[in-house]
Amino acid sequence: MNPQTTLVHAGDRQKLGEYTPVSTPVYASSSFFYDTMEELADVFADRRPGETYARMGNPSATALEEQIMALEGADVAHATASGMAAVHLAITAGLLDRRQSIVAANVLYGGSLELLRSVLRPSGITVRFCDMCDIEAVQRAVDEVRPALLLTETVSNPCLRVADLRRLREIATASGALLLVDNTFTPLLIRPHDYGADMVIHSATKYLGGHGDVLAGVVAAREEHGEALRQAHRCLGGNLGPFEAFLVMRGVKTLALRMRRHCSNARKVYDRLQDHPSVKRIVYPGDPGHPDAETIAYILPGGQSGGALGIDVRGGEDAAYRFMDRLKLVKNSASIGDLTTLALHPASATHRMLSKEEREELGITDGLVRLSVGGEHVDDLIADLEQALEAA
Amino acid sequence: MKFDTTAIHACLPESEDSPFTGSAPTLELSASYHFRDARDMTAVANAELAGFVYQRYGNPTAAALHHQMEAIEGGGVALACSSGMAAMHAGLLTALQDRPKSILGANVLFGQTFQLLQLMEQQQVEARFIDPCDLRAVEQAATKNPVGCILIETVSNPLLRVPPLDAICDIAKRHGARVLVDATFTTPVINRPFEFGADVVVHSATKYLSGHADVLGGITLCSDEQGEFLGELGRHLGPNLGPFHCFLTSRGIKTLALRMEEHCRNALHLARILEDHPRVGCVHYPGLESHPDKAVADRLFDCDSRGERMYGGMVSFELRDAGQDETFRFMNALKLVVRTLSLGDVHSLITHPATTTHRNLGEHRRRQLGINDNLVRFSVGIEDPDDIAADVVQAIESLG
Repeated sequence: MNPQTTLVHAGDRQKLGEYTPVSTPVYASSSFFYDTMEELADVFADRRPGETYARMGNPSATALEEQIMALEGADVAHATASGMAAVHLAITAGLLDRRQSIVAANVLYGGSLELLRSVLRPSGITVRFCDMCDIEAVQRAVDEVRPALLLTETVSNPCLRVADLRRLREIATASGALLLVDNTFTPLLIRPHDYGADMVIHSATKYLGGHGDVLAGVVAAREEHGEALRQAHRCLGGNLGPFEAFLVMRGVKTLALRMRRHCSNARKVYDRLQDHPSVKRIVYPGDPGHPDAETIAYILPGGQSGGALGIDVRGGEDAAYRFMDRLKLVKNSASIGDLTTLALHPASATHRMLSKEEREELGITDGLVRLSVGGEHVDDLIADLEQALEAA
Repeated sequence: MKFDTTAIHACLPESEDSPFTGSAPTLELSASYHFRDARDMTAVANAELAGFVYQRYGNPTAAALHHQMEAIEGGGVALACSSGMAAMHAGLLTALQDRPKSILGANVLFGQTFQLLQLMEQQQVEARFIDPCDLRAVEQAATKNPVGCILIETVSNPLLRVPPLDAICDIAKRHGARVLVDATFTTPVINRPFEFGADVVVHSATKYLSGHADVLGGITLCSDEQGEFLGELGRHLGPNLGPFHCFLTSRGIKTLALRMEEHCRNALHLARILEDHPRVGCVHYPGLESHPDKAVADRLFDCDSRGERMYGGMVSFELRDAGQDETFRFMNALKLVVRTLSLGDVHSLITHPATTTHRNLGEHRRRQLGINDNLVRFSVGIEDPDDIAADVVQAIESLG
């Protein structure tokens, strides 16, 4: 069955007594009760299915988790209170009973970098950062640190470098490490489990929720990590509330339609603006000259290159600010994956803690504006971008 | 601004006083508002000062939805109601303001609408019925007795006839009557009735507008001139849609254009396959050459982003030589398609009108209209079109 079909149905229509609700109810209950103590004891002992307490499992979250398993081709999934709670859960479960060391991409989302640097490293976990697109550098780091986990994003932010998951899987397997992949930028476009990822992480606040109205995360994994994840999730308590689970699930039902629109809009913006006199270059995975073109050829086939692109505006920060101030339809915002097109200036926002030299080395120039291309009509979008570029 | 863009942006808050605005409408649950100064409360209640007093009088989340609906319908004043039927009731009362209390209704309407008209007959509102696709009959009926309101559905339920809205509006104008259009089956993506001269537009927002089978709601829209009257109805009758459902409906409308295009494309695909299947009798779909109103639909309905005409997401069809038992067996054999009421959901679903939505008409009337026991009404979802068709074909063929 086509994923476009699966995502509309997965998780819904659990029988509720004599009837079946067409859409999954919002179960606001914090706990569940049974007619007899024997039944409750059986549920606690896993001798029969059932719910006990919302932190252990809530039917609204369970329905979403089933949908995410269908989306990612995973055996288990856990919904979390935010994308960061998902990153934390995956790392915690991945490190259980293993060497306390991680090799992570040096261009991870700022929040993930902070978690690794400011929380995990001080608590005694070895963390080594490296350029995940430089396979030799990854190999060296792995040889030195012998990590329990390799942590990368499918598409990096904001430079949109694309990770070669096949090669990373080979390196991880040879060294006995688990491969954790943050797939926030490319749901449905990339299924990291198809390339052997052990756990897949999403900030569901972005494309999965898709409407800018819910904070959520998910971890999807293969069966062998199920027990560790369940254990860690219960202890960390980073659960997703039932109302938020309902909203994310509702979002995922239109994910196939939205991603198709995000991708086609981004491509048209790229085609239209790449030769614009005020544009120095456009960072976009659909660019034939992209440094990871070989990886992109197998991992993002068919021209579905995602909904994000970076416009490097001629004239540096001043020009970038003039461009952004002049935008009318496009909103200045730190998030991505919304139906509304969003613009962000990484050098002064998400990556301001880096020095100018560090930023330049990563390709985060002062003129770079990251766009999360929305679901609007592309003609309106291009008109807004072009009128704003005149100001730059 | 194009439709898709308006639908996404029109519900977002815009504030010149604040340096930031939210990425989603605020879900505002307050039943009432507290004022430091009683004089301010009076001023807000008298609309001399902007603000809110009491939820039935106005609520920020409802206001965002109203603004979004007005933007995508291309004008008018909107009132979000607690169900499609509440919206229909408010719509009928609005259409009859200062007009003869006489309704000329389409002879095939949603079953509950018929019953509402029967209820209103006890309140001295007369109702007569004509075939709205027969313009001579409409003209004759309007000439014979005074008419206050002509009531039609853009696409009729369940036989999917498409009345010539533009011509009906002309007749109504000549006779001083208003036209009320239930546009549930088409939504403003396909057709905006105000553009053809309609006076009042009603939607069951439970269907395509919200689109995810998790909202019960309705929308009534009228002209600016009648806006105050509609607002008063909202305050007096109290059919308000709660803020939570307003929020979910707004959220649904953001993907309405994407969904409707997919519903329409999938429906045409399925209708063509059904038409060629030997076990299927007549197929009702306005996009088929065989449909009596294809030319009307071509005139009234818009094209999608690929330039293909949209004919809606509903397909009704009869199983050849089948009775109710065999029709039920077919429905029970469906694996993907959900057996339920309602329509316009992201998932495909199927309904048996004779025993559900049109049960109360009685067998004789159903026969007359062509709502036979072997008729099913199919709301085509946004799944992959081949998956939908495969499920329907396997269920038909399971009958042997």
